[in-house]
Amino acid sequence: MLGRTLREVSAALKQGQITPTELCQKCLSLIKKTKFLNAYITVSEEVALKQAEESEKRYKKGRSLGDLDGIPIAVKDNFSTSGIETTCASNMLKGYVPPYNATVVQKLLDQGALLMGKTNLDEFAMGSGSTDGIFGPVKNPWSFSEQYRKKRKQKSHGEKEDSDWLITGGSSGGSAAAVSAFTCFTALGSDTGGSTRNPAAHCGVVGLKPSYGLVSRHGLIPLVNSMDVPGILTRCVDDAAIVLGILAGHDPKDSTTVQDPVKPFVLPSLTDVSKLCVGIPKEYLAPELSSEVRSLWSKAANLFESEGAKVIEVSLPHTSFSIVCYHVLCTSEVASNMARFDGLEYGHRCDVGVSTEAMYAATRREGFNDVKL
Amino acid sequence: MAAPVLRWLCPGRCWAFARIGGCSCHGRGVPTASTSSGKRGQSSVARQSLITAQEPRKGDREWAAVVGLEIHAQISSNSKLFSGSQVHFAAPPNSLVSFFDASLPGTLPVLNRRCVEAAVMTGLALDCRINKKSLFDRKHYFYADLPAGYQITQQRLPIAVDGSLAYSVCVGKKLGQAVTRTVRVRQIQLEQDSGKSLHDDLRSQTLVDLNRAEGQLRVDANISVHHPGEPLGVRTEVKNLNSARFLARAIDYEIQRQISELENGGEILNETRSFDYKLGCTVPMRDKEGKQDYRFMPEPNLPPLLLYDSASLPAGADPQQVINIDRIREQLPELPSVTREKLVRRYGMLPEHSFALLNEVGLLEFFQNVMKETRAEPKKVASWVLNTFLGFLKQQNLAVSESPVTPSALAELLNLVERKAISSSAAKQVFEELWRSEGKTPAQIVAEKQLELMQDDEALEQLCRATMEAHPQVVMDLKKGNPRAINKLIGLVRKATLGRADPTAIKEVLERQLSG
Repeated sequence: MLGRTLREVSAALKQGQITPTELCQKCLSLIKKTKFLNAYITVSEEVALKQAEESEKRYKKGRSLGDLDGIPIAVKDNFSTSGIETTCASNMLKGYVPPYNATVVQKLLDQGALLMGKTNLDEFAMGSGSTDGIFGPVKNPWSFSEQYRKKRKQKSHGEKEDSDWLITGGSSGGSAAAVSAFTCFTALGSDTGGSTRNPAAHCGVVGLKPSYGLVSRHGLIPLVNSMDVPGILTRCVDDAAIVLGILAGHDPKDSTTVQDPVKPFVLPSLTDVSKLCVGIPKEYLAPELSSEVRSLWSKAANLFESEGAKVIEVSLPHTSFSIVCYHVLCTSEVASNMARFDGLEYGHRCDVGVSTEAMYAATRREGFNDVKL
Repeated sequence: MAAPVLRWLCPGRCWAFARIGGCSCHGRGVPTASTSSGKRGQSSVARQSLITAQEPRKGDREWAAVVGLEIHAQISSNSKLFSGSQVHFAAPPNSLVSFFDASLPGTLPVLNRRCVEAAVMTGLALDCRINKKSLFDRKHYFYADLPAGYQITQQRLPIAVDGSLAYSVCVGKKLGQAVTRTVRVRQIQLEQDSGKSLHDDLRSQTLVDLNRAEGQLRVDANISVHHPGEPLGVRTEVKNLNSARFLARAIDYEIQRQISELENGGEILNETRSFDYKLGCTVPMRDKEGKQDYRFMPEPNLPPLLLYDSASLPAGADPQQVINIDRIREQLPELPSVTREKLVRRYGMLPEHSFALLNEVGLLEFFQNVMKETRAEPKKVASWVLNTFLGFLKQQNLAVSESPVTPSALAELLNLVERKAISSSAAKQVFEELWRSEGKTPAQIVAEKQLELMQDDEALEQLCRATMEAHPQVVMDLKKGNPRAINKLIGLVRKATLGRADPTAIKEVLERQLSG
């Protein structure tokens, strides 16, 4: 059951094959079993069970809210969740319990989804490994797959099994691992410079970065306001489309969301690709690209071509400057967004009370981690 | 976060020489921009010991001072500039704070339409060019009353630029010798206000109220001096000025201080100073080495603010979502300068009276309501309103709206004087009584106090004759050509009538009787 798609499990719930509470219990017990992955910072067991109860009532009356009613989900711990601790994997916000829900969280809850918990990340979403949070690194579920174990056993002997694990990528590693390990059907991540797509690739799940302005950032604790977007992690593309359909749309609380109404869409089932033109940016063929990735890339391109699609070379000439631009913008906005963490209104405050400046300095030194670029 | 604030930057130029005696115009409400030196003879705080900047040596070169004003004006709106929370005067601390105001992580600013309209109105009233596209920026600094660690403002491209304001300045000793000056308005920008800090020195702590500061108008002055023809001098900023009077004193002091400093071989530091009200001098404020780096950066959460006019309005635009500058211009109320000009033209009013009428809230309306119900001359009405009526208001620190005397009552009183039913001195008594006792009409008071002018011409003739007979010496003096004798006679007759005869009428009768 936990391996089904959203549509499948939703149908099962409607037909009464399984109840939301049973589904919830299954996921909760799997979360406990996979605790060693360190994917979750907070498991909101009570909340989830209560939500499951409500969902069950709705199903009994035949009035389910939609495709996500009664479905377990997880949310990255940089989204504001009312009444549930939101830490951003930082000492600075340890113990911080927000009084409001992020818009995307609210939208999911309004659809009847069950919140399993808050997932682990790189501190303040700054990182690409999910290794730099104060709660420790997230381990890639694939580290514990049979194939990987066999491979490792062959290669090295006498190595401690504890330290033998793979990273999830990041910064939304916890969400990716949670989905990959079947502990939930979809998870929210965030993406600034790949933080949803990167861990999705590492964990073998689908990671969708919506276009900036499509999904509201209200309640997403920002890293880079002009680049952040909430990201969607699922086990199949159709599921991602369903979740995007729920989340997309103008939010008056976020002035950077697009005003035009979002038309509901359904993914076309593409059987004929002969009218498709696929471009491959030549600048992406970087010398540092690993041969394994390169061959898979070629394989995909060849697949399209053999099915009748047009595959051509395109140029994105500014590619080489992108990382530099990103760093300049990223560091400026991050410095600006972190300015509010001073210990005065919420979050960690040090014991130093000599002066405001001294308090700021000590609080920020204690609260923040080192920046590893 | 904020109580929304408009910030005006007014660069101006005023010439200040070392020893010109300034004008101290204290006509009621007449605005003055003084160019005097530090000592002010008629200032209300003259009694306190003033520290004046040391009188500079007589230099042979002129000095010119350049003054720029940064005016923070709080916009009158129901909710704040970027958050939905309300704005209420004197609310309990931290009772009007939304999540955004407290800078909770994940919250975003949302622009308040009413504030933008207010900014456009202000820009139009100050003859500015309204920028159809303006941008928001972050200005960073760490302070307890700035929860986000930055303030959202409009540094690069504000909403309005290049305006001007014309005003009148008294130049001579006489009232009525006024010249018109203009000050340039460099720009108007929308920005957040910071919170209010309350320093508790006893417990070594600072309390912060994030409702937002309540000072509805605050001014910072930037002052520098230089020799004409040479580059501008280093400027200082004087903060914490909350009245026009203190603003003027602080600027005067600072100009003198800078001139003294430079003439004695010193140099001016680019620093922030505050004004010590008790001592009347500016003192260094912040401990800074050089300028603070605010690390300005575009505010990424607010797209460019686009305004339209009727020509550029996109077809089918939702009126709720767009702001039309032309529409706002149409809805602008009549500007004070236009109102004043109308008063002068229509009533032949003195310009300084037109200023005075507009300088008190509700006073113009009061005047116009009185005018509606009386045939008295506008000059008389203005005089009553500006002197007697306003005098009483000020004495008891009342607003026009709190006046116990209504326009109708004053009109009735003036009509009595007009009809010569009472004398003008009697009218003053009636007015006093009107002020004290509610509900009584002027006619009632006149009757109660028996203040009616004598209408009986016969009786007056008799009294005059009787008085002259009783005081032959005075009559003799008069016939000899002593001009003051007539006044004595008038006074005697008045006394005999218990003040109920009009002195003009008495004079007329006496003169007639004396000649006839």
